[in-house]
Amino acid sequence: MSIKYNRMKKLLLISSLLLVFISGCKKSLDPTIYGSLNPTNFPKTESDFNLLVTGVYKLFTAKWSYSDGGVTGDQFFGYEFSNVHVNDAPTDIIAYFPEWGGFFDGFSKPDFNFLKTVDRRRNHIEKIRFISKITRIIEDVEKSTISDASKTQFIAECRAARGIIMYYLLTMYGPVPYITDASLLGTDAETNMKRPDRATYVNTVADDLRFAADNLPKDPAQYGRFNKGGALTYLMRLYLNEKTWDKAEQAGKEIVALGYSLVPNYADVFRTATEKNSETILAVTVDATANGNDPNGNMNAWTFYSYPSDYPGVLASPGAKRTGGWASPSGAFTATWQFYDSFNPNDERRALLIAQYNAVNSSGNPTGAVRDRNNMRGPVIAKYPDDDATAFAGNDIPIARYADVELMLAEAINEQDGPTAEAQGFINDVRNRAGLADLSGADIASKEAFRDAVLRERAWELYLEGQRRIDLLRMGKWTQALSAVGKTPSPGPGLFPVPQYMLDLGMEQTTGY
Amino acid sequence: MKKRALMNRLLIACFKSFALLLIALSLFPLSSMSQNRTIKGRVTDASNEPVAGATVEVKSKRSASTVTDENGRYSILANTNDVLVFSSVGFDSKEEKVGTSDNVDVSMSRLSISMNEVVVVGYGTVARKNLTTSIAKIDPKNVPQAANSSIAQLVFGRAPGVQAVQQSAEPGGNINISIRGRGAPLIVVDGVVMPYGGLEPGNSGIANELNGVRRGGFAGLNPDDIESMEFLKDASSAIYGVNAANGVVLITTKKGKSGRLSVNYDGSHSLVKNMKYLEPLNAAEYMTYYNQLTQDKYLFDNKMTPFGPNAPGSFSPKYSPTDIQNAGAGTDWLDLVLRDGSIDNHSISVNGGTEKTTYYFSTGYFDQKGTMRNSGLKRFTARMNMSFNFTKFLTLNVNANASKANYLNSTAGWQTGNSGTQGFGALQAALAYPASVPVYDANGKYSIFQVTGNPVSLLDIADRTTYRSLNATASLDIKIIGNELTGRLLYGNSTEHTVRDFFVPSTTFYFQLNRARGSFNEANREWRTFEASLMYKKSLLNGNLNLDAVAGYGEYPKDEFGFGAASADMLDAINTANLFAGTGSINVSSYKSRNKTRSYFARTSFDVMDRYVIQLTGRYDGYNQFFPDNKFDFFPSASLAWKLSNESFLRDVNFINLLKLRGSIGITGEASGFAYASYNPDNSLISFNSGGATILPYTLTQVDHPELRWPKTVNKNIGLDFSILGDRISGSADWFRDDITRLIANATTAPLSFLGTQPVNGAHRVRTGWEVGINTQNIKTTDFQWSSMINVSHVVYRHEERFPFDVIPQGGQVTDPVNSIYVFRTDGLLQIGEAFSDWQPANAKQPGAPRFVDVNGDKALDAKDIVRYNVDPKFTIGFGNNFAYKQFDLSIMLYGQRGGYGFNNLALWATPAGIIAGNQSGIKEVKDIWTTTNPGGTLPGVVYDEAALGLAAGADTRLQKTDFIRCRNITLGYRFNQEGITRYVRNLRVYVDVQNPFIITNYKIADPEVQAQGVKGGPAPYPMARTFSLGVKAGF
Repeated sequence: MSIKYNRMKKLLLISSLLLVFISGCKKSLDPTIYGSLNPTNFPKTESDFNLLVTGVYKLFTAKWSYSDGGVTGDQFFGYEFSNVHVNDAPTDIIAYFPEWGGFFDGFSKPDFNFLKTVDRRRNHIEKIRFISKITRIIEDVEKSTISDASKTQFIAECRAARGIIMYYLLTMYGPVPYITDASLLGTDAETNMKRPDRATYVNTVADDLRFAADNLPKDPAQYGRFNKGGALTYLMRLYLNEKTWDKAEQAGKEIVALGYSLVPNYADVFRTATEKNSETILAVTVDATANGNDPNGNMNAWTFYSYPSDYPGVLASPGAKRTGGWASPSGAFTATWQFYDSFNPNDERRALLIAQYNAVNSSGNPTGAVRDRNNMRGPVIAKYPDDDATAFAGNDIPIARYADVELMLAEAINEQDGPTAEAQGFINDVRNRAGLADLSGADIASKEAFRDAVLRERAWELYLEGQRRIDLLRMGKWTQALSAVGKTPSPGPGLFPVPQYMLDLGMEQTTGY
Repeated sequence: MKKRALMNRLLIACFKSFALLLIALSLFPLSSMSQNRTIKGRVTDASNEPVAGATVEVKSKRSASTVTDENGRYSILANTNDVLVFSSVGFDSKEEKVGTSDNVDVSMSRLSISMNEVVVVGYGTVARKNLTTSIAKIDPKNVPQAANSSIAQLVFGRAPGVQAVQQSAEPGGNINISIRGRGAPLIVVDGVVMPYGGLEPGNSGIANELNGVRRGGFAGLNPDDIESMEFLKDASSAIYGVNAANGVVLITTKKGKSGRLSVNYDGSHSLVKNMKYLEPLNAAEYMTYYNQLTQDKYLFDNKMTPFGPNAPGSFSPKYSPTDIQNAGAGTDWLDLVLRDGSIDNHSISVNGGTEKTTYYFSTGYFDQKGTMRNSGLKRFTARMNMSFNFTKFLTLNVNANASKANYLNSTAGWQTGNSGTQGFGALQAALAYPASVPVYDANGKYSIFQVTGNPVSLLDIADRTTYRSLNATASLDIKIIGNELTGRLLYGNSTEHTVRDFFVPSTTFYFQLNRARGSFNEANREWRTFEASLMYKKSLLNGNLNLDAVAGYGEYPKDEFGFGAASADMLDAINTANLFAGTGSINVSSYKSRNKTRSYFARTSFDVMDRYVIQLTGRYDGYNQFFPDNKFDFFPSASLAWKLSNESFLRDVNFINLLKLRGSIGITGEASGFAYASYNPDNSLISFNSGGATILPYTLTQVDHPELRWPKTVNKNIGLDFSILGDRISGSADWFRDDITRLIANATTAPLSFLGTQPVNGAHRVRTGWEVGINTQNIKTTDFQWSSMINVSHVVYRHEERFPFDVIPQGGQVTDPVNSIYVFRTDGLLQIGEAFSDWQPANAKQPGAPRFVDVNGDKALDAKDIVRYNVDPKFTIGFGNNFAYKQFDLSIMLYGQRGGYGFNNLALWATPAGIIAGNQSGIKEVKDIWTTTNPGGTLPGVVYDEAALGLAAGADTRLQKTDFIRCRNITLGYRFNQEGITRYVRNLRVYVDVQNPFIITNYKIADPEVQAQGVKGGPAPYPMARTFSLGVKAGF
């Protein structure tokens, strides 16, 4: 009996222990998520939506790269793969730069074939996802209960961003697939890689930019947010690109009515001290204390890219001597001598191209060597001088400015009515500011001559601002301009090939590849 | 929700009834115990020394058992017909019939390779001869430990189907352990789940690139405390369903034995010398090659002969013949960065116990001076394993392990970001700086070459990691019914804490800045194990059916959190002691996460007539990161062994001791992924008004994935275990196939989806292979013994189906091996005047460019010409030999691999680009670069830039075979005679050991085992080292 009793006692003990243990673990197996926002609690308020909508600016900053839902990519206004890299480096104004190989070689040569195999991370084509993302954000805003005024403001910012992305994709690849109808998100439509016809695509972009222009203020509370003038400038660029001259002119006139004017000194547009001015319509506004990385990335690093390593131009820290940029013997973005020589020597804009300097070593001391036309690939582009005592510079990067608008107006009017006095007035305003006389003689004798004059003027005015490839293609001067500087463009109409993995998904290759 | 609750209730009910069944079974009366008398005897080893602590039990009466005392004596109650079973760790167990004598003396032979050895399996142990599954075991006693800082170092080549790959040779650097070529295995130490990976905080990105510490796991455990390591390779791991998809490593630590107190000391001192490393150019060589390469570049750029139609112009080289003549060797940068290292390794352990209490205490000290200046590791460990028998039926086991490690992190390796030469660490810089540059400039300051920091000044970067861990386990064993039904409650906790203290002084020019930068980061990880289990053992039907069953419940929460802060521009003397003193921006970061799994598990095995062993296991696991309907899944397994040698037709075949066929099938899972939608803050601020207004935007990073569920791996294994010629030759052979389905990956989504990747269940991969392990006793005489072990493993891991939007590399197939390299073949270099083929790429038509091979003969170079190479070796091999002559012992261990390919990224130091650009020097192999003055060169010349070709795949110019045979250890030991030493010293052995004495390989430049990533510039992995040790092992 006693043995059995002991056994019972033991059984009781073990069973109660087990019960206590198991019952202690009986709570349901719910996820523990720290610090997470989910669709049930976010976004609700106006400030929530501000946090959500501000995300559409990610592509329009100047930092090394952005990361988004597993896709990492380059900004439109950074350095590598920026609008300057894809639109200026391939052309007659920037010299071939083979030293760093890879895409530096490919873009500056130009031979765009490398884009067929460039990975997702560095392919602007992936930005079609960002179009869908903005579509989704717009839907969230529309469904929300915030005030109508805020809704309109948020949606206008979203549509400005979407319009600008779509404009750039059009200039690179032609019409690309997109989703602007939120009801198609999450459906098979996400795999429909058929390119839309050009008119549909252009109308979609125009609708976005029109809506943004109609609903954004001229001067937003936070300088650097999308504004009316910026949206109109992109609308104008779109129409110009499509050669819809009348609509381009109309948009240009709307900008004129906003009251912008050229600053007296060309160089001031690109200096930190004068970065906010009457001419700059929209700029990527950067911070001298930022470093290109997370979290505080929005900087200007042009000096590192455009100055050779022995150029006395960059101040790394206060009190230090000025040293050069990263590349050697020439900067990664160096002008061609042909471009330099195309300037009128009195042109104040040429002063930002440095044709001669005394080399320094990496400690900032002169080496005694003089660098000039005899030993340089081309003049150094010093458009954004290092104005700040930090590693990177704080010079804002203008992406829409009034001089550009005036030149576009001159072109749009000329294409419709020839070189009228009005058209001449716009181009001369830009020339006079640079210290040049009015256009005269042969340049204003015909529509064609005037068109050529505008193209030249645009190069002198807008170099290193990401316009040249688009201008040359629009005016049909791509091959001609490149061969003048000894560049042989890769096949294709100056557009970019779609990478192989997109072809595998059913997208049509860009014509010419 | 309802479904889950119902399932839970059902399961609990199931387990309750299972427990009741076990209890009921145990209530059957025990067999009679009549006619018992006291049997006495002495247990000795082959040299007639007493074996203390050996277990003596009466066969098939498991309740009757005792242990031998310090003189090897025992007494036990048994009757004439009983059979006594003698067993002890490290010995073959032995059976002896009682007979009529009251005295039964036994001589036990030391276990080396026997099939009787006990193997730890999930939730229990089993004799190897009864194993139904494929489990490899490593006994650390057989592994020289002198220079080992990590458990992972015990693994190299020692177990079939288990690979160890050195990721970084730095002190405490990571060694990847994989079972059958899978990913990180589940680690279970004394029943408690432990993290596999190292825990290393970052440095807040303050020094952009110097972040690349590759720290190994197991950091808190002292290899000297390990009793055994078992690797569950097939369905045997299914009992660990959750997270067992990559197999399981079971680690058992040493325990105390009742008997006399014994003290063991193990100590060694080692000298560490770097093995052959990259050899930099000396000053004269650098100048010569710089001139040659820049001359070719000049000719090429100006389209001069032989690169163009123009006549060669006059090229003025940078260095004159006089410069070169006077240059001499110049600065030996490598010598300024590398040095000879040393290791001091001491452990002392005490163990013993009484019937009521057993204990094992140990403490270890490991001090490594790294072979790169400024690198090192100091570690203290302490361990306590105790066991208390409160009453006859309650035993409390308490294990605790504490460790502290101080690491000095070297700046070896490569830039982990994407920067160029400005991000070089000290070792990279030492290779990049030409020998013609002096250490100090004319002003006595560190000289600076281009944008790279001075190698010597980069050593001033203070990068220190302090790691602390505490692992504690408490378990209560309850004998419910004798030894038949026992219960166990277990709580285990593994807590780790790491701090990284990082400082770049302003005197060090780094990343183009002379700027003080400092950061402090900490990381914490806590993994907990709660388990309750019941074990039932019963011999039925006169011993013809032996039943062994386990059922249990467990819960496993995992918490991680960390915090970091960084600032810049403080005074150097302030260092990281006060980050707030930094006037540069102060950045903080933190993270916090928790996940949890819950499990119900059971295993039963039936040993029928000592011929058939059947084992069934089941595990029902829940993971809290999935949606309710998919939280739980069932992971069953079944395995069967047939001991052919016990069948009548083989029983009389004398030379066969064991022949066993076994087969297993089972399912394992992996608790990973997260199924819930979330908005998260972006990594980067959006700033307006020149930084005057900053907003951290929020973005929808994931949508709900209610469909997401457990990945599932079906493991199949067929094996054969054998032991022949009186156990002289034994081993096993296995063939396996894993089908890995429903993988969870952050897979690429549809091209127009607004999220680039999302967690998706998909794809199907297959892993097949075989492995053979054989142990032999070649010679076994009194004075001389020679034994060998050899194992060969082969694994193929390939895709079966891919994720929907996976991009298959050009030239690849859907079912290609997962680790593949796709390249165009080249065949030598184009010579001057040589006609090139039509398919030669446009940018590679100059002399010095590789000749591309049109593989399929269609006179075009396209995707069809891309050739695939395997990264994984065709087979890996381990080969060990132990010799013993009288008191001397000698062991030699080799391992190697064959049939794999890899890109030799070290060859990036022998490409013209860096030298021509003038921002890096090179290595000896630069002499093989093709130039017009060196037309016999074998490496592509200045005209060649692979990136500029725009091909669908790379060229094979840096592709190499990674075959090698490495000698891991040669150890010579001497064991003193018992008489030769004092009576206080029980045994004494001194030994010398050489680790990595040699490697046989065709791999060029450096070691095939050292991994180096391709970066801008060249990588500089921490060098592999050769270690000479002198050690002593003593028992008191």
